[in-house]
Amino acid sequence: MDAKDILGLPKTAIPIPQEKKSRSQKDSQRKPDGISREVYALTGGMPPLMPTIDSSQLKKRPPVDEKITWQWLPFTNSARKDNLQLYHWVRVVNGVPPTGDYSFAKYNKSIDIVQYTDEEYAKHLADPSWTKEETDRLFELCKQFDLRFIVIADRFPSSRTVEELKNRYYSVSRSILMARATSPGDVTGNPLVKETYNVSQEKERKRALSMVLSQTKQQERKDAEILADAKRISESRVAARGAEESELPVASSAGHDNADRADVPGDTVSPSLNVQLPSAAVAPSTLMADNAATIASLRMLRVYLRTYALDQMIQAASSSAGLRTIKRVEQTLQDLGVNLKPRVPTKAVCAEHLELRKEILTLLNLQKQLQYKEAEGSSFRDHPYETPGTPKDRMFVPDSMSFGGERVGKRDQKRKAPGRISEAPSSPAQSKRPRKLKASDL
Amino acid sequence: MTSRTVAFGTGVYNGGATTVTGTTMVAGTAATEFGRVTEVVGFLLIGTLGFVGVLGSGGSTDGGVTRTRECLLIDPKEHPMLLAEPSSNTQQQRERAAELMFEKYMVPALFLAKNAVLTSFASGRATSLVVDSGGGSTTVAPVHDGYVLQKAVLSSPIGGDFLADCLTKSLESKGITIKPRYAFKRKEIRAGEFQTVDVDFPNTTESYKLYSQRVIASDIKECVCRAPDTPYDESAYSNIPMTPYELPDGQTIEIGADRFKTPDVLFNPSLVQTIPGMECFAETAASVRGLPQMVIESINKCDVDIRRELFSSILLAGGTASMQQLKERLEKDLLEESPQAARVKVLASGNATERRFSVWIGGSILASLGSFQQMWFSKSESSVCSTLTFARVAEAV
Repeated sequence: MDAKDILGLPKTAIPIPQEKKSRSQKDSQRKPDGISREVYALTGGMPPLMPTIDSSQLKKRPPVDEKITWQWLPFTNSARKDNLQLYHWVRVVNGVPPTGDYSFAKYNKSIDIVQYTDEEYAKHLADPSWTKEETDRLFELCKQFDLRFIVIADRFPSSRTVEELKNRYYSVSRSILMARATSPGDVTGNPLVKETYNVSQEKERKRALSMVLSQTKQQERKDAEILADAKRISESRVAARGAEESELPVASSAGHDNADRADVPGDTVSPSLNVQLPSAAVAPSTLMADNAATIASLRMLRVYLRTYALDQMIQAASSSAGLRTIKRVEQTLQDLGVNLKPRVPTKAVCAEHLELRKEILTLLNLQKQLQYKEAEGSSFRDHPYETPGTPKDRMFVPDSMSFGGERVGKRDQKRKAPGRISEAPSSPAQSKRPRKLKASDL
Repeated sequence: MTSRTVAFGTGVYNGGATTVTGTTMVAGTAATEFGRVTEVVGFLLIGTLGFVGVLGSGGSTDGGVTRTRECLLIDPKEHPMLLAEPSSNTQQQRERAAELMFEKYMVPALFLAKNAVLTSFASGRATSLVVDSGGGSTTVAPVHDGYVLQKAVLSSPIGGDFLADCLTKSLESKGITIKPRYAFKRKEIRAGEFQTVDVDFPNTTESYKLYSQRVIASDIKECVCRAPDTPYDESAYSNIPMTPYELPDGQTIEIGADRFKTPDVLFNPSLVQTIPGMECFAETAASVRGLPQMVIESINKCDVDIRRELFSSILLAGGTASMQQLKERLEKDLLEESPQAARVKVLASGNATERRFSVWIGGSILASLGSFQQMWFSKSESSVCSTLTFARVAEAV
């Protein structure tokens, strides 16, 4: 190829007819007259099924017989009241300037404002808070500014609010219309008569809107921080106090939801309430605390399964016990013939199940304690003089306590099973803690 | 006296009914020729349909129109005139301007438009909050539906000139004096090397000296100054690298913290007190609020219903607004102080020239509209109507 080029020889004959063929093919598909090739390509390049562009329109050359000139001519504008003559460039065809009004005159529209006479004012429109001059001025401004009340309020000589101006305008218009109507039926269709302007509603709406808009971002952030703090405090109060629900306080001026505005602003109220009660209350048991905490956490969920709740409570209750103890509890349950998970988890059944578990746990703990004490006791009996002074003293006091507790425990054990179980929660619940403490001390 | 002539292109619209042609002439804030002009004066001739000019205070307009006539070689008798006036112009000034135009120059028709409205139209909006920071002052004006809400217009005397003065004083306190251009001559002693020789003009007026210094200081300000991203803090900016700048007399100065301190005066006017030499302004500066505060205050003075819309269309205009990073800093500050519910958006055209002459551009757009032609206040109307009616009509926009 290159060699042929260098030598100047013509290229092979075969491609040439091919090129000619392709060229002629393209020619048949060529753009229609009137538009350039690129523009035609934009439409897809192929002739469309339906003629979308009328190619005759595209490059319409003006008819040759017409002579177009541009002239600087005066024009009158029918929208003007005076006879000011301004000039502009005009397309003149064949020396005949175009006739007719200025093409923009038709855009001069204005609103029909009622015009009242003085007698009408005296008869229908007198108002204690509005003088005639003010009302006249208001109507003038309404005409001038086409009922743009915000601008009218801005230009009004005395400082009236937008709502007052609107109210006056609409009430005056309404009274005039109704007074002029030959019969009431004529004007009931008129929107001015049909709907009255509600001043108080507008005022309320604007007040609410201004409140929404006056919350700056810094304030929002502070509000969010306060809310988080309040939440933390209220949750700790819930845990301390017991199962009282504290409603999440929502800022009364929160964003766009109308519902939020209806919520009680509990921000400052509930923490103060929470502060007072725990100070009076006695330090409650940890069991109750656990229960309350789980209840609080469950109440965070809107919907939950009772079995899920039960599991949570069981977990909470047995959190203090080890894995082995839990297994022993379950073993005991099975021995008693109770299912590990209640088959019909109604509220009463779950509550009873939970109670049962707790009692079994208590029982097992007591048994363990008993064993420890018996072991101690036996070792003490076997070796009475071995232990040195201070520990003996220490041991002595808890021993007497434990003996007492033991006796109680023994007595409890001697009693029948149901009675024991039923009594178990109250006393061991309270004595369990001191005993447990002492056991760990030792 | 700096003046630039820019040729404006021809445009055809409405099937050829009107052509817009024009030349612009801009006169700077000239302390000498026009007396105390406080506004940038720009004139546009619109294809003999309209003529846009910006009013200064009182006598300046007179000089402005005369000068325009000389430069543009037009006859005011043939052209209706659209004048742009400051947003807080008094009735008296308006009447005086109209009187001047009709009596002295005998224009066929006149229209007085407010700066803020024209800026708003230049960006294609009917409702916006216009922050116009020019040479003499900074004005914040809300525009609703094409009309300025006058009760909410705020202005502060801190403008480009004030900042240039701050910069000058700050440099002077560091030992650098800015020599006005007329005060020296550069002689070439050897090839490429120049020697400055002080030339003394004992009879120059103070105002001219001040003006010439300001020209140089403004140039420094435009080249070097940037709005800081956070409020200016002495300690934070004590170690920043210095930028060199060559003064007209050959001296090269290094500018460091002043680059950021000077523009921050816009946002925090009390900074002026820390600049030695500017204590005379300390009292006025104390009563003046920073730019973000002015914006928020102005919006809060408006009706509640339009506040959201104003927040989302804040326009920047004016020479000082073309300072680098000003838009970002303003947006950042406003986001802090604005309400959660409103979306804050600060808009500025990318082109610095457009920002500077946005009033002019708006005027040109307005005067070329077909539906505007019925709003001209003609001479016959002015003679028929009483002053009160004229005032009302003329201040229509």
